[in-house]
Amino acid sequence: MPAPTGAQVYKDALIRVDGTDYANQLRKARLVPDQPIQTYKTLVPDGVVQDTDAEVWTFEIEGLQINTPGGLAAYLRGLSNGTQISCILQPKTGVGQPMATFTALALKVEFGGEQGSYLTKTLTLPVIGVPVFGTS
Amino acid sequence: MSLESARAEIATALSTVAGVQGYAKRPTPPAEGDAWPLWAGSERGPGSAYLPVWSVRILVPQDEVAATEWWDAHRDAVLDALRPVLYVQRVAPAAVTASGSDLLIIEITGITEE
Repeated sequence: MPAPTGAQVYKDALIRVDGTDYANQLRKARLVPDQPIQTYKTLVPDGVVQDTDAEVWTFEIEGLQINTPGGLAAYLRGLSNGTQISCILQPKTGVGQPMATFTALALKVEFGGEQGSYLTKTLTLPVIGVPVFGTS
Repeated sequence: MSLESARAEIATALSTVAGVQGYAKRPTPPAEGDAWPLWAGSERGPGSAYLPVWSVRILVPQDEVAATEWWDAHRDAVLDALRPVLYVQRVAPAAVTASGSDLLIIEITGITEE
């Protein structure tokens, strides 16, 4: 079977928060749905009832902890927890590429790190409602 | 994407940099500023996709000081041009074998789709 078309190495993304592109500060950015499944087995063969919850999304980011002006860490730290931030995640830059537009809630960012290595940050931000998936 | 098209994309991206001429394969003989990708193996990826590793070679001036100054002047533009087509993992000076003597190069190692 030939290699599939459309496979992509994540390397040239657009990650915008409140109008500023922070892709060059992040090494991970992804929207993750949490969608619990209820399963109930009844007393007959193949008697399985399943139900799914509506999904709840989170926005996971990981990257450099830049604490000076222009840094995403500094920007988020300057907001109150729960402040709504407008986000765009586009895995590949350019026109006609898949993208997600959503509103997340700001959280505080860690401060400091380990000696001899880059300061980093890891965050999981709650997303309001459902991201809008479209194309750029 | 095939290895051939990845090679062509990398060459095209390199050619957008002033002072750099990209080639899909090693030119004969290479001149200062010439750059070309060399396939360095593929790792199995998810599904039927593979992750090819590329060793991109850029021939720099053969004097250490001149090579340093050349790379200082071209580094940002080269890495910016490669960003859409190659996930760069390492950048380092190296030497490639040529008839007579080794040639100083900058070697950029990265992965892309196949």
